[in-house]
Amino acid sequence: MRLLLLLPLILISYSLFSHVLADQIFPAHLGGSFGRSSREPKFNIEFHPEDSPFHPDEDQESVVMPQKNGQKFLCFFPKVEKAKSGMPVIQQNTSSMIVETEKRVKLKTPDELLEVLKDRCFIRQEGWWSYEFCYQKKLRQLHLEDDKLVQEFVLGEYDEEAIAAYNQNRSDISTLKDPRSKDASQRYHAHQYTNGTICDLTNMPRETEVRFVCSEPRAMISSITELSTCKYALTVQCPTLCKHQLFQEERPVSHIINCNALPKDYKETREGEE
Amino acid sequence: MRLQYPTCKIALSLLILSLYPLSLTARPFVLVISQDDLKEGPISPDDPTTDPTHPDSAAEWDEFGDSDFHKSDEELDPGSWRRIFEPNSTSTASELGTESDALYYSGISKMTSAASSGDVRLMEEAVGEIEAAAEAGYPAAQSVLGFLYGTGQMRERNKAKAFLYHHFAAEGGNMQSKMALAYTYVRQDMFEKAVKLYAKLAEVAVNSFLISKDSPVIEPIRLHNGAEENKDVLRKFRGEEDEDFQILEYQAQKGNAGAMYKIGLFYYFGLRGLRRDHAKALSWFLKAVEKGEPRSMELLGEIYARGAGVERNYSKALEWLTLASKQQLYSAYNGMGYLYVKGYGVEKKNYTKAKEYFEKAADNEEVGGHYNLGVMYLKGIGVKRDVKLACKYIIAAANAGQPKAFYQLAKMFHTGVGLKKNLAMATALYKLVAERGPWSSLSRWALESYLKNDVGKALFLYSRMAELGYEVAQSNAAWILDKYEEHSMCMGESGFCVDTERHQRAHSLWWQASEQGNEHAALLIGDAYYYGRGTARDYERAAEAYMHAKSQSNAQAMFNLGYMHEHGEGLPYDLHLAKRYYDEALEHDSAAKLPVTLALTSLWIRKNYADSFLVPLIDSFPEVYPKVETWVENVLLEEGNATILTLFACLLTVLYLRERQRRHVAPVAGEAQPPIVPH
Repeated sequence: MRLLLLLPLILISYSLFSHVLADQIFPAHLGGSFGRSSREPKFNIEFHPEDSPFHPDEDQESVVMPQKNGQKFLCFFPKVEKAKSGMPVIQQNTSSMIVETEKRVKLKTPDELLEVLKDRCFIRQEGWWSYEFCYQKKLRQLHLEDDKLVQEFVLGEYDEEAIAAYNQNRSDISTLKDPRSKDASQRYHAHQYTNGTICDLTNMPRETEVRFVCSEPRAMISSITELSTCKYALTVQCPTLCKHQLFQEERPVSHIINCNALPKDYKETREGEE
Repeated sequence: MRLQYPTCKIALSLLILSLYPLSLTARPFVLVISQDDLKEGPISPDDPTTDPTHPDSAAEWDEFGDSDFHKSDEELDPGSWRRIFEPNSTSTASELGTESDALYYSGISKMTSAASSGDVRLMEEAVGEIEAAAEAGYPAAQSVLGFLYGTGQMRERNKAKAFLYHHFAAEGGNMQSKMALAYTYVRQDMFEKAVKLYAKLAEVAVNSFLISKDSPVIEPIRLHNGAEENKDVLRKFRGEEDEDFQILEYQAQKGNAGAMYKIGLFYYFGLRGLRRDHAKALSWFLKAVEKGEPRSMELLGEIYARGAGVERNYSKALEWLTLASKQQLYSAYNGMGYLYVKGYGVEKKNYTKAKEYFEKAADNEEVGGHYNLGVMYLKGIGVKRDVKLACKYIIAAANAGQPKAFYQLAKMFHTGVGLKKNLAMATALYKLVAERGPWSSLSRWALESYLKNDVGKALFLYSRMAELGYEVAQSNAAWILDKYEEHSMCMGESGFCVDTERHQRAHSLWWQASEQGNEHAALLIGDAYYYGRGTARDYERAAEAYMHAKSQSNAQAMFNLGYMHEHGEGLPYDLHLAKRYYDEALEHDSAAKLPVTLALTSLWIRKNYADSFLVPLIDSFPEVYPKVETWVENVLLEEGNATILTLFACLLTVLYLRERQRRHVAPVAGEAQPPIVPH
């Protein structure tokens, strides 16, 4: 009987202990699957001297910016399409975008853009395991000790049929939701790698979806996660993909603010300019 | 049973007490510098840094930099809001000359009072005045406009305009805009630009540090611990109303020299919620030295060398420092050595003596000594230049938390001298140092306001600091927005913040904090998506955010991911992965034992009794459990209630046992039985 009385008190003390000052560990900054680069646009200011000023478009917003020493500049802001939420969002349907872009000449499909990765292998270490990815060949999970291969699992082999089947139902490009904002999403192009080592938990061969995304500065594996038991997703960054229209949204845009030097006796005119 | 509760309390208070000294030392920063970072090989003859005529050479690199040492904090950080928040401090009043100055300061004071009261009209007036000052080219006003456009307060949220204003303000010499710009560049991986700005900022910061010992770290305080207010920490910052401070004051008035020194220290740096007051500090130190207190002597030396509240007098400074050193205070040797290097208060520069003094300090485990020796060897001042040895000394100093050492390391990474050129590392180290510059007073003022329950002003100040890149300020501002909602006096694009603006701002602040390593922030973003707070419910985004937090080793995020796998919310239904995440959560946080055990039990039930009635039963727990939990927290764990309950339980047990004893004794009254020992 005593135990019964003890039990709730034990439970209470457990919860008490869980309120003890938790150690706030702030580890060195880790990348995370969305990378560190802010997706916000980058700005650069270009100054133009009086004799060769910048000529603005019709409705470009401008403002007069005085410098501390008295010199004034008239600066023009780049035009950015704003949706109601304040973030540049392309509202169009992906498929209609593809139809439009196909009309343009010299358009490459994502697979063509990825050809630069041919015959290349990438390796990434995540703690105990290292992952070796060879484009259009194999993805392996290894454990190396003193440069010797101690354990190995094949997570998948390039499977053209599976890719064709996958793309039949979807377009070339799939999206992944980005928690950075409720509208943001990350686009990727997927390849299926199947028929890996048999998984003892599911009794099926391991398989991987390799996702290619647009990101600078160079091609590398950015992350590996397990979607469900023995089904993996490997994300590979590839700068050449950025050339494709739809992937370009990933790259933070660089805008230029142009400033024209104004003559010393410039009088502000209140019409038309802010 | 009865003992459990008081021992908990003792353990808790011991824990808190043991953490307190930690808050006074620099945040532990583990420097990972591998062998390949160190530059190998002899310095080649055409190495620009050995050439004395080359601008990068030792002479120009004068770290014992004196140019900014003479400037007051106001000069170092022009346009700072010190005048509004510390009106007693001795600031040069001559600045109020120009019309723009008057406009600017009037605008700022209106703005801060509008932020407290939420008065939109007053805020609009204030912004008008600031704009007028900006139009005249006043950099500080341009900086404030950059802040307003960047966050979307009283003006549209426009990053381009913000960038432009900050750029012009920075060109005009405004330090805070430089911080804001540098942080923007870091976020966009534009390290070449960032490192240049941070180098200048760090230089200014370093020159405001003490010469003999490290400033007690005045790091911004985090208001919250997880989701709740950090009451224990905040209690210590009540300033003059704090009981401990009053006890200290009493002791000091009674003649306790140590207490006098401590109070002087608090007033000198503005610690523990007290306003910085050099005059008071000086008077306490003078009282303490009469009793022969050595640390006060050292600080007096510092005060005379800086001219903080007195007329600058280097010979007096040297006198005091020497006296301190004679009392076995080895850190004073650092100050003395410094004066000999610069030739202040002595007949002429004497590098040999300086080196001697630094060595004395270093031999007695004074971190400053290591640092100073490192600089001497780095620049070949009074010794033959030895970059390798310098590296060794400086790294030792850095690992002990000396901020000036971080600065030197950053410089080495920046220029590639002694260490391989690494702009990212240089930027990170410079940022650490720069964040301790004079503009960090914003955090003191914000904390002061918060403790006075002026949440609006606190939010305003923290938002400003957040713009400058301070992770703690970002999380504080975001937490205030979440916790206080409408009462946070958040200012939006046209008057008061609407709900969406507030959530969007909090979200962006949490995200910035998480980028800088705050793993709790990503967790909160996940929670916002999971519960649909301020945004549409989105399990997939929640999962991605929890993944981000998980990669920063946040145990709660791991638990949540396990839960989502178990229920197939946003993630595929997968019991194996769920178990794995639960185990990982327990591994990372042993306090999670109870919830994890419950979760694993529920998993086991789900797996083995998949079709029975138990599954819907445990499915209903999510609604029931939090209610029970809050009930337990609010009712049972409340101090008073818990004590009463414990006592009540003990009473019941005693009564029950007595009853049992009586019942056993009564029927066997007729027989001779050995006494029953109640178990």
